[in-house]
Amino acid sequence: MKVTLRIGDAERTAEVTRRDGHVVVRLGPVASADGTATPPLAVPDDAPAVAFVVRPERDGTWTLVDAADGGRRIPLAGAAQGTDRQLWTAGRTLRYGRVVAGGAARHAADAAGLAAVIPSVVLDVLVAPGDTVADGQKLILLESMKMVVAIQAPFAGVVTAVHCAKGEAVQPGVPLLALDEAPAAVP
Amino acid sequence: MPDRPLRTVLIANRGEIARRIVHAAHQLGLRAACVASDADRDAVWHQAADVVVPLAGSTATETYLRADLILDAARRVGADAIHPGYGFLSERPSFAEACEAAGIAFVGPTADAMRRMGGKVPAVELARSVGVPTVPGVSGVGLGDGELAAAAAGIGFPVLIKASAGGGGRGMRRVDDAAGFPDALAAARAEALSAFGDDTVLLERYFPLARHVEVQVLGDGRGKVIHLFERDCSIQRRYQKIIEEAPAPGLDPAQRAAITAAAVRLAEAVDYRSAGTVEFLVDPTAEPPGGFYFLEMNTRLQVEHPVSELVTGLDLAAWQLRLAGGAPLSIDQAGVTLRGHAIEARLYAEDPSAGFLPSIGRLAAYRPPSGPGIRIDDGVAAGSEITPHYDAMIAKVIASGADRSEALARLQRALHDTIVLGVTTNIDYLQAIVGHAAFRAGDVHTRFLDEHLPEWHGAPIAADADAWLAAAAFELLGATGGAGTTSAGATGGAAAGHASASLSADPWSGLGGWRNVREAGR
Repeated sequence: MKVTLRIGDAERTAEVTRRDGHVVVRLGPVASADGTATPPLAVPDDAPAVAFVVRPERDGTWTLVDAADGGRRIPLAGAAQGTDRQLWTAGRTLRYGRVVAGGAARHAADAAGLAAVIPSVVLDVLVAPGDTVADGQKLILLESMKMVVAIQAPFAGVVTAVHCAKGEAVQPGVPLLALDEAPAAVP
Repeated sequence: MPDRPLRTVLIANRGEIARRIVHAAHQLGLRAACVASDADRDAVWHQAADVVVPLAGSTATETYLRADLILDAARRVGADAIHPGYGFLSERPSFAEACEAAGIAFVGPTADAMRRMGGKVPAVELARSVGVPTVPGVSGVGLGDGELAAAAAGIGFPVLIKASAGGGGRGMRRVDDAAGFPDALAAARAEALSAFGDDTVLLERYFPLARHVEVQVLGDGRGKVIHLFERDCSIQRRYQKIIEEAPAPGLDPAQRAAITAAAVRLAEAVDYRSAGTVEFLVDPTAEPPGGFYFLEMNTRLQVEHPVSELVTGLDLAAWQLRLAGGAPLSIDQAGVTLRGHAIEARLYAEDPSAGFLPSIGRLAAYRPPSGPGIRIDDGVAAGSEITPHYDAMIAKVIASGADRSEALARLQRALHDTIVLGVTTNIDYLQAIVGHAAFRAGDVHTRFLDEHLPEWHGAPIAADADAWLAAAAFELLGATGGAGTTSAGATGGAAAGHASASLSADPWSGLGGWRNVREAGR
């Protein structure tokens, strides 16, 4: 998968894949949010790949062990809420965000558009993780104050997670679903 | 006070201190009962208790502060003692009296000792009467401006003018010399009059540099009092202690002997029973060294009591329970020795970048540190809620060692290893304090944070190479849920299976809140 993350003022795209029992990460260049380069930056073909063996630890953390250099270990624990992230690694806790397809505008659309506006009950969930959806497609039906409203896809993409179930009462502003923008056509 | 062994103690408190006292009770073979507000219904410390009595309501006023409900609960479980912990009902003489009237031992001092030591004015008068130094000052009642000016010169500048009826800093003026006194007095009087309708002021010596040093005492209520040496609690943010240590760095043996003797004298004057703390202001600039002044006495167990336990090897909570059951104080002063050093850091759910406001929410992950010399007093687990109803302290991280530098190194490592996700914490702030050169040098005073870490709003958010790799890997391991699941199916790796298995049972997904992928299935 390809992800763009913004940590502090820096933004970076990474390609993360599973291969031969390893988690392989290739990092693109760092772009400053106020810098010259316009994020998101692609991961260059010659970006080095770092392969890790992932050890789930008994205390609920993971340790990434560098497959090429077993001495290099990166401990981590993380939590996620919508596109917000909290990551503990080696003594520091970082709060940062996943940049959803194209930066601030889409980020806001993701947070606001995929949540109820007022307390509601989920009438139906029309999609499942992995589904490809079109721009404007109905994703979730909500009922509130005897009215049914649909949450529609703000852009074309792939449903990566559904955070609610049919019949559930949901609060405003809480993301009900996560959507990854469909990859742009490669020229 | 019943002169028979206690059997059941009710703990009228919550959180880490409730758990702490449950353990002390069990150690003595007692049953431990807890009370639980609605907000604390599923709290983790109840697991340690033998019985839990629910209290309807969530606010402290509806629950932990209700003396009548607490006494009812004690009767229901057949408790013969009530331990109030700290805060809540711990310093209310009327509650201590109500307990005794109901034939239930109050684990703490007598109501009489609380009244005599709890009020600031009578306590200061009592201190003076037994030769314990107090902050030089005069009550301005009935004094004219000229008499006050003369009194100020007698106290020695700088002097603080305070509204007698005051509080909150209004009507307060610092004066550095005699020339500035008349104007400052007029301004303070005017402010006091408009704020409190009374222009009476008092004068106190002002200490530009002060340390907060307090002495832990233990008394049997029959005249015997011992001390467990002192703690330095100078690192405070808005009068809130953050870091406490024992012994006080840089205090020489003569100063230590003098300050501990003063505390014991004061406690003896009220036949103090149970654990208490006598607080002093220490003037680090005094020549010759040793200037200390009585501030007030806390007639209860304090948040920071663990550091004294670690350097003396005595269990204060257990001693409180023994004494409440009428047992004699069987240790003598000579048997209390100071070994090593201990430092406590208070870990709070608060956001330094938002004015240190409490950070309310669910702990998506919680991993307390462990290791040699590390003690954790906490009342939370992964999944616990930090609610707006109570104090936002998550845990006390306490490190001890053979000397201060060893304790400090252990504390730094412990904070490094502490994982709290789902809320924002002050861990970075604690690290900035204990890692500061002035702290390491033991150069602590009550203005330390203003001087060394002013405008601290959080460590810069920046990632090194490893953090970028970890963040990227986390996206695959489970941050986005759906992506993790599909990848798991594709590769079938052990780690992937683990992540997706956890995800499916994730109690934090759905209605929002922070999800911790790894903790979820546990």
